[in-house]
Amino acid sequence: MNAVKLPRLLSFGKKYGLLISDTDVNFVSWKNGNLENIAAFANEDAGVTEFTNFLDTHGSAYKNKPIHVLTNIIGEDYRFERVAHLLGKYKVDFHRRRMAQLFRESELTLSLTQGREEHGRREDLVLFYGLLTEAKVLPWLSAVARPESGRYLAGVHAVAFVSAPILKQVAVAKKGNNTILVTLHEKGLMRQVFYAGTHMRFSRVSKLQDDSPERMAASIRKELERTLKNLAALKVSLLEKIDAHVICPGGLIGQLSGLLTGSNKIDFTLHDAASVARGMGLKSSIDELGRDSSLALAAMFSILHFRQLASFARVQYYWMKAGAAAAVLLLIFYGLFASIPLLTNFWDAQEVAEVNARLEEQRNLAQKNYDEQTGLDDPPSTPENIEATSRVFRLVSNMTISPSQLIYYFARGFELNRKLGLDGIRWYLTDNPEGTVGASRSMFFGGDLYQVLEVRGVFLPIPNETYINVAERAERLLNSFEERPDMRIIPVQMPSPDLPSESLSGVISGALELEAARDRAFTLRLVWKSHEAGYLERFVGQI
Amino acid sequence: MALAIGQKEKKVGILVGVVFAITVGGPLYGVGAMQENLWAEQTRQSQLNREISELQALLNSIEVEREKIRNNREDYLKWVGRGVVGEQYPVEWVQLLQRIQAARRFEPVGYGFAGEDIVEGEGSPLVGASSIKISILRMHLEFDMLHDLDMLVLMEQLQRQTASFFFPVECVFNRTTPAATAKFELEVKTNLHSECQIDWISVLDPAQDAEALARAQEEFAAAGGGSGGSG
Repeated sequence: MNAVKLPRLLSFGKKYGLLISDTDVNFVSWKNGNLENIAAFANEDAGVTEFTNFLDTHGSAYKNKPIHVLTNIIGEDYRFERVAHLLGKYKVDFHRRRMAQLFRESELTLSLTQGREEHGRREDLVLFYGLLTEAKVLPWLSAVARPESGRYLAGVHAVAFVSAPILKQVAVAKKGNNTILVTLHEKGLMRQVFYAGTHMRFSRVSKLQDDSPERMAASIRKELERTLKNLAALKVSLLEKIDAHVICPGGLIGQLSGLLTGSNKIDFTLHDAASVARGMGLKSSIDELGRDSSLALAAMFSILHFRQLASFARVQYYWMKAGAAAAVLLLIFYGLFASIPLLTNFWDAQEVAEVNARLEEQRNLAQKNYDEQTGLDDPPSTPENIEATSRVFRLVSNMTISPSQLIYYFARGFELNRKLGLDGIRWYLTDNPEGTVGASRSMFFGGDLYQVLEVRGVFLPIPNETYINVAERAERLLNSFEERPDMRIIPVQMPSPDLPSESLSGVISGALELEAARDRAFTLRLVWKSHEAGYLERFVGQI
Repeated sequence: MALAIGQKEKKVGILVGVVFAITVGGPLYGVGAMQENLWAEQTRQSQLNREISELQALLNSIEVEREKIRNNREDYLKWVGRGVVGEQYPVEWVQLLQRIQAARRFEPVGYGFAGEDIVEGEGSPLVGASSIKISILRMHLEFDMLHDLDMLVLMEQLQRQTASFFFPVECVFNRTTPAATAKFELEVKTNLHSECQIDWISVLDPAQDAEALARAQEEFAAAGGGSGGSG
């Protein structure tokens, strides 16, 4: 890719250019397709001095304005060669040496690699270009490139190398086609640019006999045939026919079309110069600076050309400015795109904040209303503490926890069983369903709460009773308590008929013996679930 | 034709950097900050809506609520008047025991106190989200009994005469001579011994406002409310 068409946004406003031809030099400006000839100078030493003075005089106007240079000079040399395929620095060095040989150390040279051979050694196909009459250009470049004065060179272009966009307006260059672009000059000159496929290979300026249409047509045909001979001498392989596109004033098309008929070598197509110029975006007159120059200037200003006569380093500033502008534009677009959620978030947050402000007012009003209606403006403590304190004492005052309930329950069973002797009673609270002792705080935490009565005693002896009788008495004792779902009677120790006979021993002498009494001992445990888990939550919920 | 373009390049570089920072960093930072701001506002809105709903619900049942608050407040003043909110004075309970023992002609009553337990925090539904602390002070009582109901009578009298709250935790009644060897004779001597543990309950309210409490008590008394009493 040797060129990129610049979007209109990247045209940086007004651009300035210097059109250098053999006899005169025009300082021009370009803005939005309007080409203005600011000043004209003779292409000689005095002209250069005059131009330098002109820039110095108008220093502030052109300060930091890069100036493009377009050369339309006779004395160009084109060489198309097959050279060894090289890469990088080797290629650059080789091309530089080759151009020094070909163009006698000319500074304004250019090498364009236009592909490789398809077969064989696959050598590079290179077009070497040198401006042999560079003396007509270099003084002007020196006058332009003065960074210390705020003047910069934006690039040095030859007309032929910026002609691709012009050809694009009139024909489709494609591989296998040979095309010649002919531009008729109003000063009795014509420029031909030859394209082999899509690659420009050769260009020349020749005289044009423009006395009459007939002579003009003959002159065009003659010069084209001469060009074909030159191409053959330059070892450019030609196909059987060449398409020649002639850009001329619209008034001449009618006259020339009958005269420039196709032959076995060339097919002619005529194009109106004004409409081609419009297609190029040129709004001003095409004839003032020469048709080929005007079209080339339009192509130069509207398209960024990477390959030109000045080295890339010399036009770095211009390139960097274009790149920076493109990057800045991209970033601005990105920033705008990225700012969309920022803005939506911002507005959303604003809206929510506004709603929140109203809600807060509503909440404060409701709170004030509530406080007023409940009259809690001077409370002795926090509402939570007042309520919790009330809960605690309501619970404690409502709870009936006392040993007397279980003792009374046991006494009813006890009454039915005569001849029982009690040694001790133990009552306690526990959260253990087995009734074993455990310090309980469950009434404050809402767990199960059990009241336990543990009774120790003996079955007092009855004359002539056996141990089986005692076991029966124990059984009766257990059965004598009223069954309740919330009550468990646990016989911890009871006389049993299954007692081994070895454990029965003593002396029978008619008197009550202590040993006999021991075997009649019993321990009963009454476990009553007085509060079920969750009662506390229910109590709190009720008040 | 050397071109001095370093300064220009530097300026362009700085310009690109500034534009990059403004157009990329700025929006990214701004979007993050705005998002957080939006989330915070949305959270606040949810909270406000919840609070308003709760207040509206309370206002809708304002009569019930007012009655409940009034009752709680009166209860609170009543409990404060009874002396069960705040610091407790166990010596008063001992003096009361002494009076009961003398009046009922009980055998000498032994007593003692264990350490104080505190229930606090949201672990207890009673305490809930409040800052009150439930104080539990355990007291040990023991004496020889002529009659097996003497201890129950003692506790019943204690409960009747004290303004404080307690409940028994454990009681042991033992015969001093085994039943199997007891002589069933009519003689006036104690052969029963009892021991009981009782828990005294009080509430500590760290949020209590003494001045507001005094004003409320005055209003309460003027309105005909009691300033304490026995349970």
